[in-house]
Amino acid sequence: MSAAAVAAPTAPRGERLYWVLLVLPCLFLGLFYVVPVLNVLVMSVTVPRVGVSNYAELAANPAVRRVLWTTVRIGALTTAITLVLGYIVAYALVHTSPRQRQTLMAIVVASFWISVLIRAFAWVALLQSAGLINSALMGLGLIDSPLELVRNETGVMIGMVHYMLPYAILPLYANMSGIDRSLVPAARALGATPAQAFRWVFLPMSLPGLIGAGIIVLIFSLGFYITPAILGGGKTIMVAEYISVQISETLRWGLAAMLATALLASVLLLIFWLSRFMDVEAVLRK
Amino acid sequence: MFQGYALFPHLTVNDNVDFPLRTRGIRGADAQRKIDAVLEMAQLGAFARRFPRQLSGGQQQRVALARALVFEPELLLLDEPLSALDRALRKDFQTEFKAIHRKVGTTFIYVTHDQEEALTMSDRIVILDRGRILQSAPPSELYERPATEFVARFLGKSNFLRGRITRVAGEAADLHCAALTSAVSIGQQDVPAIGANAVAALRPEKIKLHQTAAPGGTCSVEGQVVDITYLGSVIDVTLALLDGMTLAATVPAGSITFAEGDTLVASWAADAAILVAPDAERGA
Repeated sequence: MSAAAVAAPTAPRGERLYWVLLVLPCLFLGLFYVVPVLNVLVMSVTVPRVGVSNYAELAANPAVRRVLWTTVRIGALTTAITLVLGYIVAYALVHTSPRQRQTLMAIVVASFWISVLIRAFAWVALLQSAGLINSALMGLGLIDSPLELVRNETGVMIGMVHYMLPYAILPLYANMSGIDRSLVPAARALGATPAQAFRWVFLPMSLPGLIGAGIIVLIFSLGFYITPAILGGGKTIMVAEYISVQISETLRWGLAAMLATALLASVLLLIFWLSRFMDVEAVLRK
Repeated sequence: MFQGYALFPHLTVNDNVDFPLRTRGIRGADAQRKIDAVLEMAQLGAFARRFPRQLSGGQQQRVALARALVFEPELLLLDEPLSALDRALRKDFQTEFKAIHRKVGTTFIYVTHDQEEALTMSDRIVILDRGRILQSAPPSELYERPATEFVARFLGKSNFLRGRITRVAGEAADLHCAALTSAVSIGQQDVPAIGANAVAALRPEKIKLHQTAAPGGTCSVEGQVVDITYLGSVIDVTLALLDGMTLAATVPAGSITFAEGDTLVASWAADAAILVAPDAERGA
């Protein structure tokens, strides 16, 4: 009886307004995002017939297994290369003069403005057998026959690393600029060599940034579609492209839905696993 | 040692102190023994497993000191290590630093702007002005026999008597100013020529005040009390002399009663005022 009396006190006016403002985007997300995702989930166990036969293909179908392995391999390699290059750029950004930092930052951000499609085609033009890089190398006499830089994994990775770099640089930069600038000099004063000061002080302190950037890049990399489709030239097929083929050409919607669900689940699992070691929310907020 | 403590936030207290040992390749039980000893000395034994952010400012300070001492340096440079602490905590630390200093016997070079800190903590003080060493001496000598006007003004308070030398006799001389003539001791200066301009420093606490012109002699002058500051154990008095010069005196409270506007006689011993090198270039 008295329990009813102490039920939820009415929220203050201002707070109610916030809730109203939140409803609209939530409705939008629910209608156009959550419902289709659920639809895909359902489809993966109902099409062409009810059951887990689609998921059995994960183990049984060699084509599916090859695509998944390619995706994981390219995703992991891309993440590793992007992190190394991004770390160097972020380190330079933090330690350079404010003027140069502005210029560098502008260059980093500028790549956001160019469509991923245009960038992929630009890389094809640069990397193909008669492209700028091969003709320059041959002109200099460094190689006799053109290198195979495109329509294979190398090409896909070059394109993906290029696309992902800003996504690695910005969180790394945010993390590194939060590191106390007196710590490395302090380490040096206590007798550490420059390499030791970096390995024992700067690197461990930038680890949260490195992990955060790694999660972002890996998640993006697993779902890449346009870049591998164009730079892979149909030979290197990643899961997103494979799904697209199943839907628009072979019309195996059940298989496509299963792969999409598996991709989503593995990303969520990855985040869940990482969240046991660290505050993922804090990392992604940066 | 740094002004901000510059402790490594990702390492425990133990590992922070271990850092300088690690860079020197000292590991294992040998390193741990040194760490334990220095943490014990800094009274941090109970905090070895904590991270710097879990410690108070004073504890962090001690960790920084322990980290600087653990590898037994021959010389330790402390650049205003207490500037971030409040006054009470600073006092505690001065005592603690002195105790630790006695225990380890390492030479500490201690940079500070706090003259009181310099006087209480040092065996020898070096006073620098614009990169030049003005004087290097034990605290008492620095205070009693300052070499230059800057040193006398920097450490404690001082009156400056400016005038002309009228007599020179061995270690002593007479300095004639407009309102008074004082015996001065030559101190560290070259023996001045008669008639030369000179400056003498006179500490306020060396001045005695009298109601009447009793003692006479050269080292006394009459003045009017223009300001009285009561400081508990002592009283700061400012006297205006006849020529417009002012003289600051510090006398024990209760030794003499007077009020603002009274005329008093100030006197001091013949060796109380000491010649100092004037800040020549400073006036320019």
